Amino acid sequence: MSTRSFLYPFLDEGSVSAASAPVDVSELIDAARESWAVGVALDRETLARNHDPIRDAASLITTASANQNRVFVIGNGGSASDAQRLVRLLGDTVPARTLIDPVVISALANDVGATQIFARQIETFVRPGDVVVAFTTSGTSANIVAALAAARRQGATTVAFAGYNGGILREHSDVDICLVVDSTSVHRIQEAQSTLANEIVRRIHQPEAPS
Amino acid sequence: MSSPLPDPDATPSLARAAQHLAEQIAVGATLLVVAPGLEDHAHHLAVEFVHPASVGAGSVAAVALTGNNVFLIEELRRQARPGDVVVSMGPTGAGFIVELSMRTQTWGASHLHIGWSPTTTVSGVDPKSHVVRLGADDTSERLLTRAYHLLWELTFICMQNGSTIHSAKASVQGSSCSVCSDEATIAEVRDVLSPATVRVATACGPMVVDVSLVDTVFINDLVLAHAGVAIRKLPLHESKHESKHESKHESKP
Repeated sequence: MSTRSFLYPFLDEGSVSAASAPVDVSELIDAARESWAVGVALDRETLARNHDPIRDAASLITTASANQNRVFVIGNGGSASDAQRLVRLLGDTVPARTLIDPVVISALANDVGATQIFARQIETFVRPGDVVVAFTTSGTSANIVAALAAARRQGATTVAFAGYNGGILREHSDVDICLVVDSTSVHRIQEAQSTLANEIVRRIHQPEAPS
Repeated sequence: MSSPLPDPDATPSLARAAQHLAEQIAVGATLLVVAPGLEDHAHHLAVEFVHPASVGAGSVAAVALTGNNVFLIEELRRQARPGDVVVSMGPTGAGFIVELSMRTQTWGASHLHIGWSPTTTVSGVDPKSHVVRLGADDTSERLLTRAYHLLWELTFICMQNGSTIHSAKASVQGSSCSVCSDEATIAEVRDVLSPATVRVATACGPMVVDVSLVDTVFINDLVLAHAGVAIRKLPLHESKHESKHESKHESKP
């Protein structure tokens, strides 16, 4: 049984169904091992494919930081937590922060609309020379696309982590560096994007280390 | 080159943890998620259950709690209800995690920890806790996201396939307790009644125990109780006493 059909049977059936038989723990273990292996293979493939974007993103953030520019990181849902993690991993030496304050987000979502929750903040906070980093599993999130356009207007440089083989961001005019994950599984995409982010941070903190 | 499987292989413990989560979710559990120093992971795990990435999957009550360790203990005590699951992430042998593993059961909740430790046998963590060990050191943090993604996936399978409905393992605090039938149980001091007696919270519910055999106890202290008598005070790793806490000798008559 494939991981997809085992883990997400409703995707094939078209709806969530109330199944009957309890699952044996050995089936769960097999499913977990299969998914884990798929994730590790995707990580490896993604690192190899993104060699140049990883190098360029690390260089961009290093330069921006050295020039007293700021790094702003955005994402929705789990990708918002990935944005938080990138800021945490960058540490004290890089002036990075997220734009996911729930008070600000809820104000903008209610008054302006979900599509503008990042763009409006970028128009407020971002200055020429800053860097805007966006995480999106779909590569098509409307508020991320709007945010990158706003970043471009503000004179920032943009970095996008995009799943679904990059979606519409892969060759988008508002994206300077695109780190592409070639998968359609949201979970596996986020894990590969996490691996990419870890590697970029490693390059920033250890510029002399072998790539 | 990465191994195709986690080293150590965490999948068996993930599978058992998922079964446990599904059982508790079926009886209305809320997942209370903490990850001191790694709060982004707490938020991520919680949102996986509240708003799953897979279309059609139901929402499960899960909340990330953040703050310093003392605050987290106090907040968990306020939030936890019998049957809930406290999920923690981080270094497995850390004092906070050890303390959490003991306190959680006194609140009638269960404890799942995902983390890392140098050895397979982690001293201090209560054996009733579900522990998923991802590796030996904090480089294993890179595996956390995959671990809780799989935790959700496996839990969802269990929920889809009715294992929760057919299982008798799900537990909420009831009138009888098999946990501490004739064995010492961990108890959290809730109120000082006299110099020799305190009211405690345990997995079996509140009870009064004699503390005359142990050193001075304070509210929120942990003791090991057997047959209504506290036989040992348990070391506190993170939750420091505050001046507002009363000792048994300072109690009201």
